[in-house]
Amino acid sequence: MADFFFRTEDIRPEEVGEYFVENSQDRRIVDALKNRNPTILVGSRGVGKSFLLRVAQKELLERFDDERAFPVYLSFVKSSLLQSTDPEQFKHWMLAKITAAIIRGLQKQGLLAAMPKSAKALAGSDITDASSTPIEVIAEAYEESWQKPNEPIDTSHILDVDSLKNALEDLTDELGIKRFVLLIDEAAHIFVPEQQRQFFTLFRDLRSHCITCNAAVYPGVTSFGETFQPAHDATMLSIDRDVLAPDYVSNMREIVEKQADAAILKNIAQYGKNFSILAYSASGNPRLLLKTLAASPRVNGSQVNETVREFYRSDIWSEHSVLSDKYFGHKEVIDWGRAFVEGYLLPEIQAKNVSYLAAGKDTSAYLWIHRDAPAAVKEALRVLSYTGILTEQAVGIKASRGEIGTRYVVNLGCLFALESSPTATAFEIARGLTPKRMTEFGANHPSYRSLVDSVDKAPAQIGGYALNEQLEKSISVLDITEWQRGKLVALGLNTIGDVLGATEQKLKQASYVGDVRARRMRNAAVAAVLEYLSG
Amino acid sequence: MSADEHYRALVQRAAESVESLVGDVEPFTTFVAVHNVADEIEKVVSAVAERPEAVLYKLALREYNYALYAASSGSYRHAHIGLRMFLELFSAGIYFSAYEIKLRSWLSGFDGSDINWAALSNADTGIYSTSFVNAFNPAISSSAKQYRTIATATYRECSEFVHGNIHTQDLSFPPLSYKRESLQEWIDRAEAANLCVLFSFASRYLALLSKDQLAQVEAPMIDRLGHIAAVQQIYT
Repeated sequence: MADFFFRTEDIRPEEVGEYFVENSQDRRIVDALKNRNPTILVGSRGVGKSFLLRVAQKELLERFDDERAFPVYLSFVKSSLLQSTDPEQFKHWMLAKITAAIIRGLQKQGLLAAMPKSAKALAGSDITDASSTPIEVIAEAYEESWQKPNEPIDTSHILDVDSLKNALEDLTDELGIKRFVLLIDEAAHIFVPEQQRQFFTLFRDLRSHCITCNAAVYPGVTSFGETFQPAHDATMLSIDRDVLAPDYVSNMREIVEKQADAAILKNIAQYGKNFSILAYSASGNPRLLLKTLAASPRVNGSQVNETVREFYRSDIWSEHSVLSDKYFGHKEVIDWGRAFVEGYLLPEIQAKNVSYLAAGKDTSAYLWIHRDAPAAVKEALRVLSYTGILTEQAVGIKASRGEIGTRYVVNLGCLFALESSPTATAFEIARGLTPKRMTEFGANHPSYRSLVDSVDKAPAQIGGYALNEQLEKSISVLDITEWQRGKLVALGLNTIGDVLGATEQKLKQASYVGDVRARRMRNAAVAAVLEYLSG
Repeated sequence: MSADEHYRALVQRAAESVESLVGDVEPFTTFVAVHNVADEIEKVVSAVAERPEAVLYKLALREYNYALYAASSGSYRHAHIGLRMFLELFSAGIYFSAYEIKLRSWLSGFDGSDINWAALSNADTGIYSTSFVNAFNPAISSSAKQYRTIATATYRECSEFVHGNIHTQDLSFPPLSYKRESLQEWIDRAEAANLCVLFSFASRYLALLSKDQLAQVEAPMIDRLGHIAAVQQIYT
């Protein structure tokens, strides 16, 4: 199997430029992340949010000497590990993480060598570049609280929001920095509305002339709290690559070309149409494309047909379905979402496309949901958007009889997977797509009934997440390669908890193939664990 | 063992490697396919045999044949070295065809007239650049960037064998012996190199060939580059 980077975490931050394939949308997003106005970047898994944050960080650092805007990248992916007794643990942890990330960033660039007083205030002590600062120790203590939940955490070194802003203001003066640009990845947990509210409140409160907050979130993060107003307090940008754009396939091919070897590149050139089908199936998601290409490196008809059917009929759904195991309070909604798409939506669109193609008409992959559809249905669509099965395209769209609703597009791979031979028909479907053809679901469509009935009987529980149960699960649930899985098993790391608790040294023992592979192996394992735990 | 015995033993091992390859049906079939490409390239080269740069294509073809021999006899590093030289010499022929003074300098062996891959593959001025392809066959210039990427990757991967990068070393495996995986990797790169060479030929000459010359190269052009609409168009 081809050895691709599937996650940004596996790429060294200074190397992101080598993998960046710029299109106009990506450039607009990167520029927005770099400018003064706060930006919220929205996109499902694997579409490249982390990557663009890293690109913005790299470009800001390259221009730092002239523009004096200092980028700080940090991720809140470990929020699912917080299990302390501190009722304000998430807020404290966020503040500690931000502070620690700023200090580390400044140290790494050599800007803290003079040790300004304000830096001491931030760190809670003098800073030595080798050891952890007290503020880092606090952040780490929260992240390890899943191992010792009853152990109290000393939060005395954490600054409150105003003190943090003041300290950063002083720091900008002393270091000649115009502003800090925070690039916060995995910012708000999709299934924990309270964390979403706290995050966006902090996002709003941190606003200052010397701080620009930017964040990447998943679609469906909708709990903004009382002070944050999406339209006013940030520019909301979606990272949805338009499959209808004329340069869509060539753009996706260039992303692959940054990583593929000569053999695959040659196969792509010879079987361009098959590659286009993989690209359309990925629906703008580079990770899905790389995964399916890795599964069909010869790009011939039989491989592509098998991959599209296998991956988009089962593999892509495994991530969705596993959510109902982890978030048992949302089980009905999550399971209904899959049943709706597989049972109603896809067969209906497929049947329509058969007749459209036969009549030489445009094709469809679009659905429209009435704005007054039941809340549980909307929740199910939110989860489907989170996993990338659906993508919200536009709200306030008029459908038949002038009714108002939201238009979504279904993942094209899921649609093509129903074809008996995707390479024979998918290309024509993709080339004929028009959003004007939507399958409409009204406010009381019969398909909603089973969900509405079950939710009436047992309302969804908020949270419903048991970390300990997840930690005991086998590593078979992780999205890693067979080679990586084999190495983990060889080290006796059989559960999620084993991998999470393993030291870096322990994980490094698995690799005898050089530092690069060792780093990728380690990063991939831990990133997969955190991705699994975070939803 | 005397020197003559030593070298006879090496030849014997190479012969055994060939026998192992021939006996491994599936890889041998793909090997024969890349072997047959030599014949196709010969046809292509003969179509422009009267041009002054044709000497480079003949030298390139010789290297390709040597690479095939090295691959068949289990000498995979040298098969990659030969393949890289094939790609480089053929590409140089395409490049020199547009700069006669550079061709003459090279043929005369003047100082500073070395073939330079960076120049041949330069994104703005090399043989896969839009400006170069536009000058001779604009109908296929939209594909040029893609083939430049393939050529660059192929050259880089072959260079790793030239430089002896660690992953090209296998001390546990005796030289001059058949190894299926190594052969398949070489075949993949040979197919990629062939594709690039034929594309560069199409970009430089296809739009300018006579009817007879077009007929002479039809089979390789359609078989290998028929997925490019503009190439098909020439033959319809």
